Parts: sequence; structure tokens; C-alpha cells
Amino acid sequence: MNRLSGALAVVLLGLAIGCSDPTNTPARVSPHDAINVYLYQKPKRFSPLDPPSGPDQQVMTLIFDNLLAVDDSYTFVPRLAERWEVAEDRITFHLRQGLKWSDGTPFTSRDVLFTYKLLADAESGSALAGRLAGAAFEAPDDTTFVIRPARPNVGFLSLVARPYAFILPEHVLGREPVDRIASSAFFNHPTVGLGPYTFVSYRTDQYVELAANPHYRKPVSIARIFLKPISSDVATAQLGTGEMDLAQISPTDLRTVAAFKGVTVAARPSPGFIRMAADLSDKRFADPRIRRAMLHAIDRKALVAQLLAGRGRVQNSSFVTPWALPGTLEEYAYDPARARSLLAEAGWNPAEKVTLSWIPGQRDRDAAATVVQSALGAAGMTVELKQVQAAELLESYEKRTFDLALYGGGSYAADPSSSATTINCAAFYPTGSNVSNYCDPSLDTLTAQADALTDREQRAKLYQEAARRDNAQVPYLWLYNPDTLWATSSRLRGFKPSGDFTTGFWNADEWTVAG
Amino acid sequence: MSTALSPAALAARRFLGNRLALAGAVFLTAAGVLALAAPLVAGHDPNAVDLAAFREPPSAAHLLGTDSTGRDVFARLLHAGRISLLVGLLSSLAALAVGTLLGALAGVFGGAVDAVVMRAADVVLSFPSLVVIVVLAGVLGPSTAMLVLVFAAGNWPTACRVVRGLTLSLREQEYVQAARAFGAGRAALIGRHVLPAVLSQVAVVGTLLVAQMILLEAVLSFLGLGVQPPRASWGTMLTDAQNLTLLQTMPWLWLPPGLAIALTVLAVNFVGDGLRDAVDPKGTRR
Amino acid sequence: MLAYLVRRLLSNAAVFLLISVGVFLLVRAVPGDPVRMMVNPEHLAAGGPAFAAAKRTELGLDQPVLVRYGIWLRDALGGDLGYSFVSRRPVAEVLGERMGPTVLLMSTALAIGLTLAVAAGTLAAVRRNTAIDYATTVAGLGAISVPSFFLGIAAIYLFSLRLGWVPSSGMSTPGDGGGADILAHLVLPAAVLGLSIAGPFTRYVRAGLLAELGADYVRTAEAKGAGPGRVLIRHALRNALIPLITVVMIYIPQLLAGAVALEQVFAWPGMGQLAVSSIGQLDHPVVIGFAMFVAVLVLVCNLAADLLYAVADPRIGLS
Repeated sequence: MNRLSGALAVVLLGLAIGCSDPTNTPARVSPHDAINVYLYQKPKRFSPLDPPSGPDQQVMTLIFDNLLAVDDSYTFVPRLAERWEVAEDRITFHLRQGLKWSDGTPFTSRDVLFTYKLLADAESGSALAGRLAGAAFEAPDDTTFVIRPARPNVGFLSLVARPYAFILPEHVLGREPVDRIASSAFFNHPTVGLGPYTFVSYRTDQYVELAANPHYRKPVSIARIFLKPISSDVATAQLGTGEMDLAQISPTDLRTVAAFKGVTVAARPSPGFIRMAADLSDKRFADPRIRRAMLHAIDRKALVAQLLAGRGRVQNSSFVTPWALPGTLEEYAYDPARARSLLAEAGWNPAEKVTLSWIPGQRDRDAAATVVQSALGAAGMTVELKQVQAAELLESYEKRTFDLALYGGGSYAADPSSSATTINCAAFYPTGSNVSNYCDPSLDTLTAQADALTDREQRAKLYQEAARRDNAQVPYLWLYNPDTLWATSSRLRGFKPSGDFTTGFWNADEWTVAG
Repeated sequence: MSTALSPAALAARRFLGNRLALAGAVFLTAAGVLALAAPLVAGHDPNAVDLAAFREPPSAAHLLGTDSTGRDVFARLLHAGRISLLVGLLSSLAALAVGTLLGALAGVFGGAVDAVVMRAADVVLSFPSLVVIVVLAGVLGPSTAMLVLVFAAGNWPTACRVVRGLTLSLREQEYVQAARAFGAGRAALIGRHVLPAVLSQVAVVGTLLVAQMILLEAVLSFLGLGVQPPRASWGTMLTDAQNLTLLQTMPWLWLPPGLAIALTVLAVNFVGDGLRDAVDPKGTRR
Repeated sequence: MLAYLVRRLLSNAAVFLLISVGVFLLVRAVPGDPVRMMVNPEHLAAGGPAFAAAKRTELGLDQPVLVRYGIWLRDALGGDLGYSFVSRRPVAEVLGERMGPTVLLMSTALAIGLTLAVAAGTLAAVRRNTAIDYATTVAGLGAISVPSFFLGIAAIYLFSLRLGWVPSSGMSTPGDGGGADILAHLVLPAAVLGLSIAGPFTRYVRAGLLAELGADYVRTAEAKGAGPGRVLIRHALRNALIPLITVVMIYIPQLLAGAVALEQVFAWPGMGQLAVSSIGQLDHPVVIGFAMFVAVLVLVCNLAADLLYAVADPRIGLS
């Protein structure tokens, strides 16, 4: 039997290698004290210095803390700062007293000063450095921290509120050389933080494990949180099997999930929207009538009704913050005949071919691309679809080699100044997020004037004027503002759904788990 | 058994006696005809979007219902079949042509030619096909032509190895040595003796390759690396099965393409099996 | 024997070098800039061009491709595969972490598949040309005709969502991770992958066994009065399985490729998932590392197939 046993040995050896897998060290936790939470993508690292990435920020929200955060109604709420005062030249933060890091070390304004200096220092490789450039920081005493922005900017708070500028521990990172700190192993394994939970481990492609922080400023009732980066389809299935306690779901699955026993679904308007950017530096799209025609050609109401199962709204502005929007805006209702005549008026050449690029993989968005292609085709604009990887799309933004790009997201609800960076002449990609290369100096003047004021009423007046111009010029082909849909199991209590999924765990310190 | 029958006629008789192979051939013919005649049979434009008819169940107007942008599933199934079958056939033919030629060259010339060809075959076989495909999809732009090219480039070694082996054994046979003794050139040797002799085996390899290629296309399209929208292949249509809601409540979206792939590949395999038995009744080849 | 081994190793090294050059050039040819990948336009791009340039230098992307290949090769021979652009962890560590789950899945699937194949193949050979034989043939062909990712989806729906027998996906329940827990997660993907292996191997077993059963020594043994069962197990099956070893070795790399789609469907944390996501994120060092791993695996398996075959059957010379 030598030869046969040889063959068997090969197989068994393979099995043995598999079973001695070192990643399988069991860490048993009673399932009653733990909850499972969905992450829509794989986190990379957990560093406020890195360019912002949704899943990284979601995890950091739980393990780190900020001066202030945004709640479920998009208003700023205190976190480490108990209160703050906004003056024209400075913002003063008054920190909570007696806070401790998760390793027991006391927290002071020196940690905040250390973090902001690091974030503003281009040497550190901080992606926030550009935004914080020119600002000065001071810590006059242990519980006070002052920021002096380079120019008067009321919108500054939204640049540093959660999910940006998480405060880092000086006593852990303070000795690392600034030019190498971005690559520090701490950001792969950030075990010291101020958040309600502490980092335990990250098993790539499986889960991030967090445990309740014993030094948090109030008792945390959930012992363990497991964040699982899986596909939306798998997460939905796991809501049904009880393997998932909190997940975002797609409109397609709304009825299925609502029918699961013990699962509740909540919908909140998201702070961004799905849009197409046309490359406006390309003369073919320069005439606003072309852009208006494109909006008229697409039945956006039907998109919302069918693809989103009615969970969303047609978008007609680059602004989302409610008080920045005037009462009425041109709605660009579905009207193929008008679309055709506008295109003809503007002299659109029907032989011209236009490419629509997007990152595939989301069912609703993929369907929207197909619908847009067909609708524009019916109006006389020949569109070719092109699926691209993220890197390719971003490169085409920078080199201006795209015609139309379909994408979504953004967080514009808390303050209209965040929308301004998508239409500002000085914010062309990659300097800012003005992907369509739209430029209207009079619009820039309006938003700059508004941001130099502290009075909400006066700001609103100027922003509404800007929004009217934006609505008429159509710098983006706005499609829709989808609702963020959250599903929670009956075990998880105290979750307050927010439309912004990146800050969706904003009140995680109040969550509890039922028996 | 009558001695008057030629080997080819014998093989044909054996093939026709194999009921499964025959059934497979009939199914494939039908599928091929349907795919070719898709525009005539379908009754709908496969790319006609209609948001008013969103995910509708099968009806008289839409035999297999409509998909997530209101397109007719039956029409898409037939047109997707064209692409799936085309990719399977073309890439296999291309792989066979390259593999047979290189295999014959390696076998006839031997020596350095043989060494280079077989090393190249090793290299190709060890190249992770997925990496190659993603990269080429990026460089050439994902397209049907790209799929055919990459599949052919990654699969010629199978035929190459078979043909080389056969050629080597052929070289030792008397009639071939006689031909060489009479001064037959190597090209003539390949054309007149090697190719006819290996044709039947190559046909078997080719058939089985078609089945593999159809499955490979389905996997790639499923991973989003294959056929580009708005066109569809059976693999892209199957992506809908991943979603719980669609899987549970809308079988018309994923069952037809799923069945189409399974039955087609099964039929191809039956035919390939039948061919193998017909060509090599003793089953000496593994 | 030794000369043969040395010759094979040398030629393998040559093939390996060729592949490494090819992979290096191919990966570099993907459109898109890895640095762009790290700057998200949705939130902030305030770092600007200077930030991008600094990152490019940091990652060594500003050097000519030949220089980068030279550095990579030198480091790789010393066991250093570089650092992931995305996680900034050593590539060897990132790959190593995924090797365990993938090996576990593949070896279990192989065990299931081969067991099924030997049982079904033997049955088919012994009951040649009966209904059982035809049924196994059709079942075997059926198993390789349904795309395994589709079979996987169907299995999850039936056994996990409808019946609730096993967990739906992943490799372990977070917080548990014990042997029984991993086994429960392993059953479904391993069985589906095993089924796709059983299909082709059933045919090999059947064909091999039929050839052996017709051999002289089996007739002799039977003439000497050995019962059919005995002959089958003692002699014929044993000899029929020798060529199978070779086929299994050659099949292993293919299995890894086949596991890619299944790892996606089952959210199995293996190398296939890593490869797909790294390609999407333009994580060049990881993609190159993965590609080289597969190439080495293929070469080693081919060599092992030759050697095993030679050792198992001394009639075959190694010249």
C-alpha cells in the first residue's frame, strides 16, 4: 500500500496545514453580549491622516473621538468639547474635564494640540493638511483649545467635526518622527483611543473586533462589537439568519427585510446625491442648454419610484442643506420633446458619441446607468457605457479624459460650504472635488461672502441666491437623493438612524443589547 | 462488423449509437439556431429599457418577464446566448489552431523548437489567468474580442500537449519514416500526415474546451470582468441570483440563464464524451 | 535521478524568471494611478498635487520599471515581497494570512471530491454498462456543467436561509472561532467545490480501473481463486490510483482559480478574495506577490507530479 498511502499523506498534509492555521486562535465571547455590524467595504487602516475612506471612518467613530460630531439631524453636537464659541477670527473649544484614554492615561488639550498640528503638517503626509493650511492652534490651558483659521470661515467646523480629525494620543505617538508617522503600525492596530469601544483585532476580510472601553466617560453596555465587511446581498441574508444586527440595505430588499422576524427598517434622507458630472472643460457640454436638455430627457421620478422603490427624491441642486435652498427651483421635469428641441437649439451634433463611465457593482446604480443611456439615446444623444475601476475613474477626472461620470455620495447637509467645494473655480479636481470643472466667478463670490459671515439669516440669503444660479446653470446632472436604509435586529436597542452612513454610529455609546 | 466501413464511418456510427451524445448534439443545434435567429424569434429589442415595465413576472407580452430596467428577459436570454456561444466557440477554435500548430511543430522538429514551445506552454499554464484577464480588460478595454483573445491565449497548451504527444509517436511509425526517407519536407509532413492523424483527438479536446470556455465566461461576467453592459451574457444575467429578494421572489430573472448555461455545457460535454468514445472506442486515452 | 532533479529545477527557475518579468510588466500596464486610488474626491482632495507627488515617491512609483523590477527581485529572493500600498503591511504577511483559509478550503474540498470520485468511479467500473454506470457518468458531467458559483448560491439559500443548518458565509462566527464553528462554516463551500472536483475525477478513476481490471495480473489473481472484491481493492484500485496522484497535483492550481468565485460567494477570507480586491485597488505589490505565488505553486505541483509518479511507479524512468 506504499504508493496509495503516499497519496493519502499528501492530502492529509494539506489538511494538517489547514488545521494548524494560526489565525484560528479562538476568542470565545458569549453571543449575548456581542453585536454584529455591517461594513459596506473593507477597511484599510484606521488613521485620521489617511485620505478619508468610509469604512475606516465608521470604525474610527467607535474607537476614537472628536471635538464635536454631527447627529442624526445634521446638527453639531458636543463630544470631547463640551461647548465652543465661534468668532470671526477664532473658534474656542472648552473640553470636558477628567477624561481618560482607554489605557488610563489622562486626556488633556495637549493631545488635541498634538493632533491638529500633525493634521495640518504636510510633512506628516496628512490628507487634511491642505484644508488646515495656515490655521494656527493654541492650548492656553488643559481644557481649552483654540483654532484661528487662515481666513474667516464659519464652515470651518464641518472640516474638523466627525468623521474627520479624530484625536490621537500624544503619549503613544508623540515620539514618532513626523515624516514617518503616517506609516506607523499604530494605525493598523490602534489600541489606545477615546471612543466608547477599544480596538481588539482586525482579521482582514472577516471582521474588526472591538470591546467596550472601561475608561470611557460613561458605562458602555455592549461588551463586543464585530464589524463585518461583506457584500450588501450577503448582509441582507445574514439579517434573516440572525448573524447580523445592524446593516444598510438596498431598496430592492426593503420588503424582504421588513418581513424578517424582529427586524426593523428605518429610512433617512442621505446628505449627498447620485449625479453625473459632465466634463465642462469639453466644449461640447459648455452650453447650459445641453445640460438642461439632458435633465429633461431622463425620467428621474420614475428612477426614484422604481429603482429606489420610492425611497428618495429627485435632486435639482448641488446644495443639500435645507436652509440654503430657496423655496422653488426649476424642476426639469421629464419632457423628451423639450430635451430634443433644446439639444437642437444648442446645435448638438447627433453623430457625436459620448462615453458614460462609472464604477459598477451596485445594482441600483448599474440600472440607473442603463436607463440614462437609453433615455439620452431617445433624446438624440448617443451614449456608450463604460465600466471602470475606481483608480481609472479618478485618473480620468484629473486628466479630464472622461465625458460623463456617474457617481454618488458626498456629505453636504450640515453646512452649504461643503457643497461649494464641488462647484468652486479654485476647487478643480484633484485640488478640490469639483469634478465637472465648472467655473462661475460670481457664484464663488456669493459663497465666499456667505462664509465670512456668522449670522445664519444673512448666510442663508446669499446661499439661496447661489443655489438659484446653480439650479439654472446645471453644473452637475443631478439624478436623485436616495434614502439611507438601516435595518436593525430586535436585539440592538438605542440605535438612532442617520442619513449619513459614515457618521451612522454617532450615538454608539448609547446602544444596548437585549438578552 | 463490416470490414467495408472506413474508420470515419465507424466513428460516426458509434457516435450516433450514443443516445446522450445525440441528445446533446440536438440540443446544441437547437440552441445555436435560436441564438442565430434571435432577432427574429425574440419579439423584443433586448436593450429596450422601459421603466414602466419594471421587474414584471412572465406574461403573454413578456414570455420570461422583464428585468430591473424593464427589458425583456426572453430577448436578452437569446441575445446573451449568442455572446456566450460565440465566445466559447471562437476562443476554443483559436486555442486549438494555435495549440495544434505549435504542438505539431514541436513534435516534428524536436530539439530546441520542442524545448521552447513546451517551456512557453509551462509559462502560460502557470500564469494566473485571472490577473491576466483583469489587466487586459483594463488595457484593451473589456470586450467580447478581449475575452476570446485571452481565453485562447491561456488555453492553447492543452491541445499543444496532446498534438505533440501524438506527433512524437507518429514520427516513429513506418509510413511516416518512409515519407521522410523519400525526402518529404517537414511542412509537407505536418500537412499531409500529422494534421489528419491528430484531427479526431483535437476535435475531442476542442469540444471539451468549448464547455470550459462557456463556464469561464460565465464566471468572469459574474465577477464583473466579462461582457460589458448593456449587452448581456448568461453569466452577467446570473448576477441577479446573488440578491436574496430577486432569488426568492423573481426566479424569472436568474433561472433561465442558469438553466441555459447548465444545459448547454452539459450538452457540449455529452457530445465531447460521445466523440471521444467514437474516435477511441477502447478508451485508451485518459 | 539527481541530474534529472537539477535539470528540472534549473528549467523551472528560468520559467519563473520569465513569468516574474511578465507579471511585473502586466501589472504596471493597468490603467489608473495607485496614488489616485488613495485620494477620495468625495470627501477631501485638499492635499493637492504635492501630496500626490510625495506619495508617489514614498511608494517608489517614480522609478523606472526596470529598476523597480530589479529591486523587487533582489528583495523577493531574500523573502521580502515589499509592502502593500493599501494596508502598508508586508506582502508576505498579508499573503500568509490568507494561505491558511485557502489551504483549508482546498484540501477539504479535495478530500471530499476524491472520496466521492473513488467511490463513484469504482462503482461505475464494477457495474460497467449498467444503469448505475450511466447514472454516475451523467451525474459527473452534471457536476461540472453547473457553474460552481451558482451552485454555491443555491446551497446557501437552501441549507442556510431556508433550513438554517449551517451559517451563510464567512469562516467563523466572530467571537467564537472554535473548531466546530469553523467546520460548520467550511461544510458548504468545501462540498460545493468538492463536487466540481468529483466530476472529472470520477471519470479518471473509472477509466483507470477498467484498464486495470482487463490486465493480466487481475485475471491471474482471479484464476488463483481471489474473490472479486479482494482483487479490486488489493490490486486494481491501487494501481489505478497511481496516475490519479499526478492528475491531482496538476489540478491543484486550477482548483485555486476555481475557488476565487466561490470565495466571493461564501465571503471566505482566502487568497482569491485578496487577489480580486487587490487588483481593484491597484495594490501592485500584493497582486505581483499573489501572481508569483500561483506561478510557484504550478511549477512545484508539476515537479511533484513528475516525482511522485516516478517514485510510485519505478517502471518509469526519470531520463
